[in-house]
Amino acid sequence: MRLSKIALRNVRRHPSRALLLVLVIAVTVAVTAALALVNLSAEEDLARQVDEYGANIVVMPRSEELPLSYGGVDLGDLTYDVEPLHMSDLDKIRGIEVAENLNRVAPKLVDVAEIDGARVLAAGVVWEEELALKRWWKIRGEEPSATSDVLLGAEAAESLGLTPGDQVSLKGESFRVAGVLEETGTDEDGLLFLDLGVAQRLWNRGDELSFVEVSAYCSTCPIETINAQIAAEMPYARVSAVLKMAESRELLIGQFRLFSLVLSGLMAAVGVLIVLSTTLGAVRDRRREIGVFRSLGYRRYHILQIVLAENLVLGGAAALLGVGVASAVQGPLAQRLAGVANPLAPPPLVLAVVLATALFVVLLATLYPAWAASRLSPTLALREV
Amino acid sequence: MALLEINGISKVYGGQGPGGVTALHAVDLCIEAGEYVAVMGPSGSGKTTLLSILGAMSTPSVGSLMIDGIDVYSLSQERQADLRREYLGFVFQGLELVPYLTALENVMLPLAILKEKRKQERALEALERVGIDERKARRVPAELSGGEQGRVAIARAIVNDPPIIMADEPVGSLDSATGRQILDLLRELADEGRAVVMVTHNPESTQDVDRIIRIRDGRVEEDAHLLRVEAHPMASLHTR
Repeated sequence: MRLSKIALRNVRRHPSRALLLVLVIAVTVAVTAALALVNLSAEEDLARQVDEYGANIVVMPRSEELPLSYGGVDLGDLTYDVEPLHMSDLDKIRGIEVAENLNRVAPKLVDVAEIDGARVLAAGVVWEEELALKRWWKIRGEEPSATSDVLLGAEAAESLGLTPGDQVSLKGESFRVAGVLEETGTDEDGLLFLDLGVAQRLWNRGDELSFVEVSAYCSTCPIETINAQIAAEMPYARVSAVLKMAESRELLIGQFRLFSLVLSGLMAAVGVLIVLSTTLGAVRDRRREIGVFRSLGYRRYHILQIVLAENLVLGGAAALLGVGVASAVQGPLAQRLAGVANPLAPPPLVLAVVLATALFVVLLATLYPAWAASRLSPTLALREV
Repeated sequence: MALLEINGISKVYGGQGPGGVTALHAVDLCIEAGEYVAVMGPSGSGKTTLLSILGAMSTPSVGSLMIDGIDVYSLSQERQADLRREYLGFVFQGLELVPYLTALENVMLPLAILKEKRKQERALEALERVGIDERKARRVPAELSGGEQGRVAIARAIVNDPPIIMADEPVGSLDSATGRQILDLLRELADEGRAVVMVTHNPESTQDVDRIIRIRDGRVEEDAHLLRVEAHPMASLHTR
């Protein structure tokens, strides 16, 4: 016979106490683990959504600027030594080491277009990339897709008197107004968008680009890394991270994570208190029995082992149960509570960490009662002392 | 050298100050191997305190306990536990069998903390020695009679083959016939060369003992060595 047998027999002797402990530990583990798993899925989902929502890196030509002022008259800035970007630069961006973190690469060529004698700022874009990047755009009419389509900002459409379906002429070529953007409150309201290739041809700009907007997944790779790798590939360009977007994402995720941690911490604290008080009660009920063990020559650590073994057996079973329940419910929970479309499969490492943590917490909660039991005197076996 | 020797033992509960209660006053005793000693006295006289000190369970306020020449209370708590396991077997009042373990497992309790392969065999031998067969050994205490439970308690006390047996009112909760069986077993253990110290307040339990120590108010009032006549146990007489 080993000490573990004594522990197991005592567990079987008190089924209601064992059931209570298993229930408390299992519920605590289930809630904490489910929350952690939902949190992981939500983090991943949120990160993807935020990352996909607009550009977080802008690549522009490097240039020198000189403020022009003469005789007290401000004449604006003079930009010189501009080295324009080219279509081949897109391959350089897509060829960086962490290219798998790139979501969209949206090149643009900006120039002035003239429609019926009115001048308007126009941007040549790749429709597929642009529409995927600007997911907040609301278009009246149709989404542009053909090279003969143009898209107008709300102000531009109003000033030109154009509506979806109208035809416009640019440098003698006819284009269909596929759609008009609803007001965005940005510079885009005054813009005319057309196909990039067409714009390069109409304005005789070869394969030139004005700038490139990049949407990258920053949740798996810091934006600074992506930024640095693009800058290394294109030393002649200025690569700027739109940190506000990344910071917003971090803030959102951080708040979610904090909420989960606080809730998990509270659950764990309540679980610890219940395990602690229940075990202390059990030790109190077994004072004479522990006194007998001590009088038979059991050292303090033998008593410690018996009490710890009892709770670790129960804790292990309960933690397994809790992890099982958490794995089963985390998917539906993530979908219903956090609106996650595709919840992650529970990662085995996370489950292993949850199990190990649960056992560690049960161990911590049992240490004091076990220590108190180990300090009991063997004289408790004698009735009159 | 006596197997068990206490010198100038005093025990004060609640501190040495005015609020303290002195349970034992300067007690000296020597107990030899093979002696069957009864410690008697009224309730509160200090006999259980004496047993706890003799049993290496409770540190005296003053004085020393020597077991087989070892100064017990100079040892650490853990070494005292080891010494209890090696030298002492206990039979408790109410027997104190662990209710959720079988008789066999109860007897194996002192062996459970040892790295030994023959635990079960030794426990079965001890049970057989007190007349408990293997079938009954597989039962929990509640399924055994009072006498059988007493035998299991004695088997647990002797399974380590200790030279000293301490018994605290071992027949207090048993009927007279069953109590007689337990007392006979204790006598046998003494005849095998063990020192048996039994605390009791019942004069009938002392019929077979070699020596009676009477305690009153924490002092040894009488220490009587008896002559025992095998054929007629009731013929014991005070001699010293």
